Amino acid sequence: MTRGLNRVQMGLTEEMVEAYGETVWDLSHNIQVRIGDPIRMLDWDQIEAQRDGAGLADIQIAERIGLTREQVTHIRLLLEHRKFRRHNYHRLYELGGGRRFRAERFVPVEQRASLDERAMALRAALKFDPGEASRYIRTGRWGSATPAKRLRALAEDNGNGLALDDKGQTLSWIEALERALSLAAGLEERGIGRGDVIATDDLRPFSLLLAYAAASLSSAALCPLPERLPKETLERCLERVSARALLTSRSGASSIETVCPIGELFGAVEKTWDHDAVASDPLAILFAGVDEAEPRAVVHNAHTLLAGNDWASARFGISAEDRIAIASPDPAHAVIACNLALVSGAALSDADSGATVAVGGKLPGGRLTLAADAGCRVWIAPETQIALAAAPDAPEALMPAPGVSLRLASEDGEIVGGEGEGELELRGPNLAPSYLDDDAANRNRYTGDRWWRTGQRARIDAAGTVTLLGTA
Amino acid sequence: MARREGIDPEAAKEEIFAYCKRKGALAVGVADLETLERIAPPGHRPTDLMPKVKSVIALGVGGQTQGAWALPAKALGYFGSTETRAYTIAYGCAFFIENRFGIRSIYCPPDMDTEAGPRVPLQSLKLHAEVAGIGARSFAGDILLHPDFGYMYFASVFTELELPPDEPMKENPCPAPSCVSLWQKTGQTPCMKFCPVQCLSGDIDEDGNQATMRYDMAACAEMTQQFEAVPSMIADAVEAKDEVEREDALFDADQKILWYKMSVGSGGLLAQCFECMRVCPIATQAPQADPIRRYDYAAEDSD
Repeated sequence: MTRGLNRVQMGLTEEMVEAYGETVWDLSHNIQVRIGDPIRMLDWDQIEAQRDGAGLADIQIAERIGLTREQVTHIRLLLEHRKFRRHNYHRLYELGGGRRFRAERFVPVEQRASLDERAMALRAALKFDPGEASRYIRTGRWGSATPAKRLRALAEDNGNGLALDDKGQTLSWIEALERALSLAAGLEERGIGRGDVIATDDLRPFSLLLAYAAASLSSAALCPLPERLPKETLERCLERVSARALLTSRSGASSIETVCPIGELFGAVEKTWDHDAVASDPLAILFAGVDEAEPRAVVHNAHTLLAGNDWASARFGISAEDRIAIASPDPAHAVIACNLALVSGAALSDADSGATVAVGGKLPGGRLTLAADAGCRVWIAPETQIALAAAPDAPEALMPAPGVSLRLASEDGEIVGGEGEGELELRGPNLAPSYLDDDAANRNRYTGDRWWRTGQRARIDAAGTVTLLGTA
Repeated sequence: MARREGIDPEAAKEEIFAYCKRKGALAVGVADLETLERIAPPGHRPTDLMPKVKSVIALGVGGQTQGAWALPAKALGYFGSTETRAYTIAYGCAFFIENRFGIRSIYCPPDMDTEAGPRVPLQSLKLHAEVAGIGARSFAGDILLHPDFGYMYFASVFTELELPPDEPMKENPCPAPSCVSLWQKTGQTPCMKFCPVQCLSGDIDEDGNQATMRYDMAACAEMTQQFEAVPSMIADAVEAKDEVEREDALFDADQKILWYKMSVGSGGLLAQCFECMRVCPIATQAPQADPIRRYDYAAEDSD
């Protein structure tokens, strides 16, 4: 309404707005042009000549183009609304305190990258119980640590220390950070970054650690897959997670957009790399039952991936003097090995380069084996990082990792209690909260109160010690 | 109210200026009424507001402290509030004239014309101040600058008391020599270069004076008239396709802060962007732009 009149009363149509709008706009004071300084100089000829440039009042515009004043006012106000770009105000948030606007560097807010539907679906899988989340944050089990932050800290604190020894190819922590940044830059050059999934079936220490850190730097998710999966299985897994890239040494392994060895992806780091994953970013996707017809994709973030690794590292006495080898084809073990290296400063090495710690299987000559069925027993699954672990001096006695709660359920699903026998259910800070796009698995494997059914029969004694009895 | 007899216009003007300066005005001038009437468009002339007006008094007060220029932009957006001091002085001045001389006067509302929407003021205080000789139009969207005081907030008083008018400033301090140098190198002065929406452009002639000033006021409004987003925000909420979209339309920080600003009558709802003035050497470094230096000048004057 303008002066109390609506459009019908004014006789104003949308066609008129369209026809006269730009003329009204140009004549209004929304756009102003001044030549010289005529008012200050009281140059009357120029004052008159420049009235259009200075901007006319609505009544003057109405007289000029033959509309009513009300019509002009209404058209002008409509255009002031329609042309108003609300996002521009947000530019102020990045200015001041020594920061000035630079047109050549600025990316308008509305043009900044957003996540596609698939990436949002991945995030939706990070569906944590609010009470548990609050508890883990309050107790410090969840914080802001990420694999990339851990790598940066190691590069700063022990830059020349050995980070990787992979069949004679060695990298210090500083070099490992540089290569991870280079890989992140190379991925970015190919348009792969935040919200994307990078798969790899190259689980060698060099490739895996760098890919894991690069994914963190890119806020992307790494999906490590077993080596030499049948092509059909591989494709099914890649499709399941909508992978944008596959890092592999197998040529023609997949038909997705980017398939190449990691070595082809290193790019030039041309800027200060200032981003990293946050808790809302899926950071790793691990498959459970990869050989099954419907493998379950398990989505982890930095919280669930890193929780408990400090504790495990301390418990097993892993230090920067150690070399950790991946002694299992299971990607879940490989990711654990990376995490233990990143929290302890131990190097990640191949099995033949003097490894002292083996994750997932036995190695000759090592001082410590972390595996479900040998050495110092740990229990790991794609759904969880180290959930149960034995003390080095009592390798058979499994205890829950800090923050991990256990309970037992009978065959008919009744909760047995804290001791006795039954199917082991757990929840904890290192447990993935759901499976990706898999209602059936989420219904079957997670209870309504967010406990995860491990599928393992177990006995828990009065001291809380767990004995695994086999598949439930 | 009894009109005082035998008023000496010059003496009255002196008394009025003294009053305004005593209350904190840095600069005061009287605009020539006939000039204003010729330049201002119909509906916005002084006589449209006060039919028997004889004189228009313009006054300016200083802006923020020097430290404010280093603030984050979102905080600096709240610093326009010294304008209220100008309005207070103008209000007092109108009362002063009526009380002292018995002649009707008004504080000129700085507000928008209710018939024309939020981008059209009832009166142009800028025009009053320029014609009264207390500011000159700058490259920064015609924001008035003063060679001594830099950047000021203006207010006007209309009175039926006839006062001898002042003249516009003889010189325009904009562009400053450093701005001319930058323009010669890059084609932009600092205000043009650092405007977040690039709403300013212009040319400088061979004598270092403004040749052309171009101002996209609509783009500037996107930074400075945040209240204009309110109706759109409500429209978004009405048109939202689901509750999630509706929540985002109404309850995120951007939207809720608008309601906060409106409910407290915050000055931070308009004229929130100071980026052109932040980089203006006249606004920030004029001899008396710094309130502390003004104090020193005043002390020197009284000596």
